[in-house]
Amino acid sequence: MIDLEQRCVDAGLKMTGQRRLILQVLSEAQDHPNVETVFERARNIDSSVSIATVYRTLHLLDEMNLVQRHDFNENYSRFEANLDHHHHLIDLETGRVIEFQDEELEELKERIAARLGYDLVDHRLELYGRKMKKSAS
Amino acid sequence: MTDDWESGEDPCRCRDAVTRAYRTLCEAGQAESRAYEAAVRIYRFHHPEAAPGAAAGVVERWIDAGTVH
Repeated sequence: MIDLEQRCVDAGLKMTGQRRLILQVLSEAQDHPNVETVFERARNIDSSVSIATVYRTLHLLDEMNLVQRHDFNENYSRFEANLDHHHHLIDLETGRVIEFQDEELEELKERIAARLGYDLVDHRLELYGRKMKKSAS
Repeated sequence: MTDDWESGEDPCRCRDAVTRAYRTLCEAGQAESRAYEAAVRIYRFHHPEAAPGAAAGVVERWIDAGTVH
């Protein structure tokens, strides 16, 4: 089950096939699609989906704070899956990927950007490491 | 003589780590390019002697092989 779908289930949203499809489109999007784009992508997978369903589903997800609505300088909104922000630590020896969240790190990034005179808009960070050896005691 | 990293053979068996990280990051929704960069980084950790271009080529072959099978 995709992360966003699990969050919808956790939030008590009844999962229909078409809702699942729309969630799939949002989860796979690397951009911020508007309603029409979500509709087109969903229709490419399942031609029976209607734009009314896409509108209703996106509105519902927005109400439930499960998607992020962006009102850019346009006449329509764009949406993205509101996934929990997290980073990855990658084990160099095994390739294992560990997701983590760290409030201090979030604050530090903001502080660094502010110190340099910027509002932080985006960032990129991965940690690479190898498991520490247990010391004999 | 061809070095192991040039031939793409994997005597140190880091291939599993490389492909695992790539696959996991893609499945987690990371952009393919970022997953690929991470995979190359893991490869270069195991093979620091490999030139960047050669390492990228080996990793690309491993990933492609994983996609096909």
